[in-house]
Amino acid sequence: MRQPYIGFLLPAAFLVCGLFLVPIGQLIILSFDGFTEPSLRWYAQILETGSIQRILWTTFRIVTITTLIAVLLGYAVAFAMAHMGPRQRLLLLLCVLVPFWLSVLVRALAWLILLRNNGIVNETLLATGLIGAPLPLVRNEFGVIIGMVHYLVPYAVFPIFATMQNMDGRLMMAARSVGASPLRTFIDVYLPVTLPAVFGAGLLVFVFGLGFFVTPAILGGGRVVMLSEYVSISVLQTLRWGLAASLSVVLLVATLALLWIVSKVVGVRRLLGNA
Amino acid sequence: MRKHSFQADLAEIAAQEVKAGRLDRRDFLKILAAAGVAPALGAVLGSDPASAQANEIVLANFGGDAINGMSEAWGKPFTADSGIPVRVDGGSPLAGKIKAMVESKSVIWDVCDGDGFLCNQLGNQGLLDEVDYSIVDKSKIREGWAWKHGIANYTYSFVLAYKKELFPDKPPTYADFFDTKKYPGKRSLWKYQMGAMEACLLGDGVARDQLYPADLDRAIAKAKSLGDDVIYWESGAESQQMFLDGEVVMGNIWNTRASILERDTQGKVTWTWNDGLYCPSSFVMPKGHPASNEALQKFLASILEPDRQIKLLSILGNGPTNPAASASLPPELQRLDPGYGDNAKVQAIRSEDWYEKNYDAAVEKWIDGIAG
Repeated sequence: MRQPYIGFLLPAAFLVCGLFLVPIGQLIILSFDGFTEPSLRWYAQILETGSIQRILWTTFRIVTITTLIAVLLGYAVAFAMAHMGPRQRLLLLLCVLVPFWLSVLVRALAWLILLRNNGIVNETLLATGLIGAPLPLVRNEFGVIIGMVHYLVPYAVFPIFATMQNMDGRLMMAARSVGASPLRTFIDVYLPVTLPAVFGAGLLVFVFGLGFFVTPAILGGGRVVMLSEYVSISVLQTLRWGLAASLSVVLLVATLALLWIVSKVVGVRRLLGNA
Repeated sequence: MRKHSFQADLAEIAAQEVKAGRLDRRDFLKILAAAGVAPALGAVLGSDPASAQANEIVLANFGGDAINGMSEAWGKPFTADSGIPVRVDGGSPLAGKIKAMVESKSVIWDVCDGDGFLCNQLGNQGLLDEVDYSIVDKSKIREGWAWKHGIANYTYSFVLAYKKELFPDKPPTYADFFDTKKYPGKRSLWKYQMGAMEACLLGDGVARDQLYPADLDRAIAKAKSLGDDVIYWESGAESQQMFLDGEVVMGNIWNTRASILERDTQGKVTWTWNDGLYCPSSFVMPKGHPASNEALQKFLASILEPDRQIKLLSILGNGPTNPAASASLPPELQRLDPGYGDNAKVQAIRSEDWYEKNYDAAVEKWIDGIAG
């Protein structure tokens, strides 16, 4: 069959090739020390250096926790949004969207003002006598997770909401009509139908989270260093571009592997097509 | 040779304009960038833009008040003398960026502000032009700070800043800095090792003149002993904000920020020169810079004039590198200059030699050490 509109794909294909695939190719070459004397020394260094592995582990741990919380919250918000009246829905949508439009830097600094030792939250709790000493809410891993969850919840809400909204309501009615309780209906009918969207949202949040840089730098107090910040330091401060490149390749491969696994579990069409 | 696109054509026209002298190299690069053509293409097109001399000097520094400060203290007087405009670009000329620009032959900066040890470190990699000491007067630079590939342009210190109410009688020492039982509250250190490492070693009992060669593991262990009581600052503004917000009670910060803090808090936050770390900054000239070499050498010579060095101190708080300038300071500036008599005597001097050889590895080890 002839495809008359295939020409329209060319600009996009050109952009992706020129601005994405070629630089990525260069990055991969750089991570192997180029063509003249290819070596695996940067990868060996990742395997040998305990501190780099700690940073990888920190990144993985924070992103996993963030993803679980963000998807859970996102599911609740999406559920509410899908089943409430149009006016409340608009209001809730605004509540999700307004912070979504704020810059990541502004949001991190806002959390700092709220959560630091003499911030609004701690001052209020101290004044009411609920706590005797300020709670360590920020400038640590806990603060990083708060900031990241806040940033990433909208990314979880929208794919899940889209699925919930498009769901055929008669499925639930059918379940109720044969005697299933509301909880039973939710677990056996509603949840399985929305599950691919949940995986899709989780994947989206996880992949975004892996690249987080500003939020951990500010809310982590300097002691929570995640992978992308480490890459940035290697490029700009310590000039080890080979190491930065190989870490980026590791990140890329991990992301692709994740995508592959989730698509095997859920099915790539359902993941990308329905969500 | 037939050109294949409008951008390439535009670039070719621009290249011809450069050759004919109607367009300087910098505007040429701008046009190429605007047209989305990599500057390297300019060379492929058969033009050699580097041979065109720019008619201004672009000085790259790290932005903020230093843009206006360096322009006032150094740029304007030089322009008045030579007729060559000096534009200050706050584009943060980190070593990585300089390296990338030189290697891709798309240098847009003529003079870059950076730490003293970068002169040798980048110079030995062949990334910098040499200083011509027949134009720049070596005797106007503190001994040891006139390098082959750059000169010390100003000085700064890492100092111990603190809340005055905690230490009303005498300033704290680094032993107090690490004594969180006696003086509760958070402390701040620079995230990127420098100054912080020395503070840790001093706090661990190392003498001021025995800091180098530095025992980094010992310093990291000391830093970790602070547990949750340390916040690492990233930018100078952040180090200042932590004091203003009451997040920290003591901090190892830059003297320029400390003096602003003292002024803005009416002395509630102050600092001591005791056990500070006295450091030279430098100007380097990346290879392939657009401005003429002679103009740059003359510019470097001009910034060493005592009145211009003192002017910078009065605007930014950065000390002179010309000893004659420090010697002739008016009383109100004497307390601010890290290199002034008594201020310098109680400080350690950063070993440029140690940093040249160890900085990259040290920063990395430090970051790895304090993270997680």
